Amino acid sequence: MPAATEPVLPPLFEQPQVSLAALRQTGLPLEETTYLAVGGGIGSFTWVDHLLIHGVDPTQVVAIGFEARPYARCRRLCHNSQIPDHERLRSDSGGTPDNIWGWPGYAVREMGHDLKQGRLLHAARLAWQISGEPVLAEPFTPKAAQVFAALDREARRIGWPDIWRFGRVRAIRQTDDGRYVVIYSPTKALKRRPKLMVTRYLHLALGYPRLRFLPDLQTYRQQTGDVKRFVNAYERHDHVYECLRDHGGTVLLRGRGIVASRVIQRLNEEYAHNPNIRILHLMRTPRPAGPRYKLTRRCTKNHFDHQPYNFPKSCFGGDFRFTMEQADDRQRAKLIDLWGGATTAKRGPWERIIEAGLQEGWYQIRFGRVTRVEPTNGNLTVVLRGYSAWREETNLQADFIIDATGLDPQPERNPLLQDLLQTYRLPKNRKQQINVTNDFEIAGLRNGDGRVYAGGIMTLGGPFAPVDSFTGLQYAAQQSLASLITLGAPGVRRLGPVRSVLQWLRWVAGVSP
Amino acid sequence: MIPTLLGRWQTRLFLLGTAGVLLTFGFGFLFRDFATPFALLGYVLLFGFGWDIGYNALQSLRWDRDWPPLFFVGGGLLEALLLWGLVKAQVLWATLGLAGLPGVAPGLTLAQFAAHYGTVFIVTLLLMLGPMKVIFLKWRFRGGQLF
Repeated sequence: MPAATEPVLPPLFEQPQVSLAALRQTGLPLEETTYLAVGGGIGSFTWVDHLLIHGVDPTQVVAIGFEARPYARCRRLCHNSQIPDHERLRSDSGGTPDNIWGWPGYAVREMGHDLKQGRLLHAARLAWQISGEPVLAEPFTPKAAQVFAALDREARRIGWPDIWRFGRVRAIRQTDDGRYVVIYSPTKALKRRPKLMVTRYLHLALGYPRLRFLPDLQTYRQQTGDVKRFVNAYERHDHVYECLRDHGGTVLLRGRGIVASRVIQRLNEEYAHNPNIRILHLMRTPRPAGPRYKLTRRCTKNHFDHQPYNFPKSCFGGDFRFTMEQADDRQRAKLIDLWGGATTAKRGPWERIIEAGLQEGWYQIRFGRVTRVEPTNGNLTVVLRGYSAWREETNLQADFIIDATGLDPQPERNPLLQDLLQTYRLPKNRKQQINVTNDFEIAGLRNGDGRVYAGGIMTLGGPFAPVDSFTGLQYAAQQSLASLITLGAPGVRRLGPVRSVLQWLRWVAGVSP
Repeated sequence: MIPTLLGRWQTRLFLLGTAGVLLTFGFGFLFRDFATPFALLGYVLLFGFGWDIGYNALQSLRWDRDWPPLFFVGGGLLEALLLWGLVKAQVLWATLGLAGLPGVAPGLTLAQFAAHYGTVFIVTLLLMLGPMKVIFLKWRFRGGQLF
């Protein structure tokens, strides 16, 4: 819990509410703003973009984060999990964090680019894709580079470099005048004097607290000190593929989500160079059929659950979005487990790799739970316990283990959230995240006129299922803006049809809001 | 936009009531007959409310509970076929003691029908696929519901 243990945090911050006079007496540099976004990633960017387009004066908005580019962490995680810039993300064409309206989507923009380059056939293929997806064609997904370039453009348009500043936020407290104070380290060297920022409206979008390091991975690393052979798929692990290309070997892969599919694709690329590569895909249980919801059932193939995005499309704006919003805490958690979970997109090339691998024997599936991982003669032995009634123990030999079971969403893993949870005894929902209202407000932090809103994975279990998608970040921002409009927050104006169209035209022209 | 039943109804009403009415005025001038194109527009709206119940039922059989744009196109073609069938159902109207589909001139040609229906359908579909999201910011998150 670094926020509480680091020596320079003033004792004043041990209380849940602090007075402005006491803050001034600390002698720490103190600034005031009206809107403050903490996180500095795509969630913060989306909220700030909404604020400015709704009329807020940019000088009244500050964003604090680690990296100047809002997509920096997202891009790093993509690269590590084998989605380089030229590859496609798993995101809808209309999930446009650079454009609050969702139109034109990335497919239309790519078509426009194709037409300019004279690539008529490709443009026609994209048109077919977005018209028929996901039934008659594979869903369109944008290239990572396209999204990042669009975010760069929007960042320039709204003046993000003037809004963003480097900072590591260490604690947040309510002030005695109905606002919030944020204490942050303005440089990477934590020993430098922290600064204070007082704000009326605060937005938190901190992303996943950390990578998910399963207990067996932690034990293995603690015992051996080896961080090369047993890796998390979101860590940088290119050495695994380079070594396999040179020497061949067996990879044990865990997880069956989209990252597992990408890792298999990358391994298949290496297999083309070295046919001595083998993939052992470890799954905890077989998956003969997908879950049921009313009259429907999710498709499965080769023990993978298929759906275009991490939740059914209707969760992004159709019936299921309403269902989630109207559901209680228990139902929301149930629906998230049912609709979400580890799923991958149904893509022809991936299916062909799996089919070929199964047929030729270089890709095999095993079921069971890992009991332990041991180093043996330069490689690894994975001891498995059979699933269900099988009481067998199996030893699998592998050269590398890639764990693609995901990221860790637990708020306690983030020191700032842990501190907030403890200080304000914030209630959590059944997905173990901090409770938010349908406006994405953390009601437990309400302070007079002051409000705290949230976005991203820390709102899982709330009113919207795919919160950690681009569309989810936009939805959360839009909901919080609706709340700010109701409150009469300074500068925020309703975006009715006329103002919305005018603002959109400014977006098209690349002119600041 | 992933439509809900209410969203389908409201969006249909809004688009036919705005772009649909404007275009139909144009065809009224072109055909020198306002009653027929407006009657047809009214039928598209009226029958559409019923069709939407059917589409929504089909949509609920899909895991993603979505409705790809090509399904809208398919629906538009089906609706056109039914309407044209009704225009030409002389036996039915004779049985009911009517000269034809009420409000529709008996001399309406297929070309006139196709030009009017096709234009209104394509324009409203294109509006739905893009500009509606810009005009009504929350529309795409509300399954097409405007209020």
